[in-house]
Amino acid sequence: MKLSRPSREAPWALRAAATAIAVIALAWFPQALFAEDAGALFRGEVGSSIGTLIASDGEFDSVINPSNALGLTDLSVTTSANLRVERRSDIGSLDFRIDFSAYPIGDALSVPYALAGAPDPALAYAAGDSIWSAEITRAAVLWYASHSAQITLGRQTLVRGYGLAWSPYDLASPLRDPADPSGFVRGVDAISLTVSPSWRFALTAYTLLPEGTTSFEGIVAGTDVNLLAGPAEVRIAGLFGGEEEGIADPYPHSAAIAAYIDLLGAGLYGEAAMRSRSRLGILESDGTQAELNGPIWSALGGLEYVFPSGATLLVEYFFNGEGWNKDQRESFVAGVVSAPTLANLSLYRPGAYSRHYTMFNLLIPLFGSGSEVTASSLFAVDTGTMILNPSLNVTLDQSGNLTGEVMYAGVFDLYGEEASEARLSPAEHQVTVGLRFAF
Amino acid sequence: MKKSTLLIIGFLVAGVASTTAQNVGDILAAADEAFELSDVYSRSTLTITRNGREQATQVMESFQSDAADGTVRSLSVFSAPPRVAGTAYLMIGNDLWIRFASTGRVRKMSSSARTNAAAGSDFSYADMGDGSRSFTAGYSARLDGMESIRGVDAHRIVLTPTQGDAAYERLVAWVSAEELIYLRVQYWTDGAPIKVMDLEDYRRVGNVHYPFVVRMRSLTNDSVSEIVTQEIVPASPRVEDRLFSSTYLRSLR
Repeated sequence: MKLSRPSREAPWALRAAATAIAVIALAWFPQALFAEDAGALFRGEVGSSIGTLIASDGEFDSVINPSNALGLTDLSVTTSANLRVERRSDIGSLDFRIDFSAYPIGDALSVPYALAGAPDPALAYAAGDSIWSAEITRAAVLWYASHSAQITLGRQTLVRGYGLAWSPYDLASPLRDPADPSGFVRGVDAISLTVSPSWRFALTAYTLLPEGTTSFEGIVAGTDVNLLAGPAEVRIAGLFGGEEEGIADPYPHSAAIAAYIDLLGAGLYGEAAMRSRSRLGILESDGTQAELNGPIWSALGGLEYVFPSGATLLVEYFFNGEGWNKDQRESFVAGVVSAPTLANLSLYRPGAYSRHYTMFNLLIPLFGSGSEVTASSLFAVDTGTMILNPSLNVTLDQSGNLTGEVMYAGVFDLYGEEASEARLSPAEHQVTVGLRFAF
Repeated sequence: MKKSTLLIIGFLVAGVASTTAQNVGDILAAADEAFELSDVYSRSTLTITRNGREQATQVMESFQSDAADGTVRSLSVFSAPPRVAGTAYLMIGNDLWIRFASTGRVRKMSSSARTNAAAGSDFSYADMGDGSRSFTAGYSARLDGMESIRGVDAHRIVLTPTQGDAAYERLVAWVSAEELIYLRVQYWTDGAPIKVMDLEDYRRVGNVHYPFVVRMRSLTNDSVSEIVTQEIVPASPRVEDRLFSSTYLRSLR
């Protein structure tokens, strides 16, 4: 399901500049890059996992999966692979990545937060009980135009915020999955120019083409300024989102600020963002969607500390201004019951559903065995949903390329609220065992 | 005792102390010459052996250069094995940024991370970054006798930090008496030695002798990490100012 976007008008100068840069890059850059003494890097990863779901009612029935409409099963197999082609030289770089996956249709709702990180594949089809997808997540050419300027054209990452699970500062990147904070985030189609006359200062200006937009009218633009002063790093960003139309708009007008400071060995960071409206609307109890207008503020505070043993602790608090209050959550549940369409279900963003969240993440490397243990939890403060997500990652071969993972995800309802994520989740527990091979 | 006698003894003590300090300074200055290469590009391997089991050799490119104000800067980019290819560390003074290969994301790290294991090895980020300049920068030195290291007579020198943010509370360095090169450095934390670094296979690079094999052995775990330099180019044109910024780190592939 893709949400329609309003058309936008871009200044003619912007169109001309974008066209000129594209022509120069496409005509000249590949020859120059490949003429350099640079090694191409082909690499990727293939993995497969078996998961088992446990639901207290044994039927995987919930408001978002009525009568197990998605056909969740006790056991399921997920297979994924990615292929990267990378090349770097003194004049620039190429970055290409394509992700393939095959997973049960019901997986989108079977784990607590999967939906937020679910891919929006360019190519996807259903076969039997599975969805097969292929998606180009990176396809960018970077050119060092001078010692202090670089231009990137294509599908690229514009992630800049400090937050691990959430990042209100990231105005131009897709929402990430809070349950998989180290997961790969799909790039956006953009042209970006970064000017950095000193390592203490960098200014990035970009125009991006939102998905589904095929004309210049759909282009939006933004900036990101990075400034280092003493032990502190400060970032300021703005996004011009064009004319606001329609209920859903992934790029509303926005401004954001973020800062990181080192204090007594610990990293303290904060982010704040103001959006002219919510990126998704709300659902009325009769099943119709409505806008959630702003200004809407979101903020995040976090702490990072690395212990002498090598264990890394990250703690975050997220105020989600785009999240729903109790009335809006109850309205959503009523709306989905009355009109359980995919469009309405798509408004549900686990991990960014209510207003207040906390995250705890402790990574413990076991150097002796080449393994690492991660203990992670998310808590939705206003709905009482607790997610526990411990995992063990083990290196299985001498090369370090074959790894095994055992993961548990559990959803616990602490308050008994009807419209909580815990109640909406069709399963309470999931255990996954997987293998991955990097090449 | 007469004042004049006291004065003479005072001068003698001061003179001996001065001579000792001068000697230590001279010894360390000579040993530090190995790290006085500027704008260095190098390609090296890192092999970790844990519990007698050798892990996959990691290959990295390093770029090191001091800023105009003397700030130490280093960039290390890993190219093998596949699982870590694309991982990179940038250190500028006390600031550390890491590029994670799996996501391409760049993250600034706190100073508590600097003393931690780089690439899962027995070297810390600080060891890898600061080692580009000198082991003794930021430490005061005291001669502590002579010892034989690998059959070579060496000065034993105790180093204590002069600044509060030093990565270690104490270093003990052994410098060969004849060639005046570092043979071994021992790192202390919480009142005990935690690891020992051996520097071997010195070869001529430019005007200095440079250790092509640097081996760090943990004294708390059964673990050894060895960096072997495959290629080193001082005053390399590949080492440019623009490399030492988080902007460049983000552009890496």
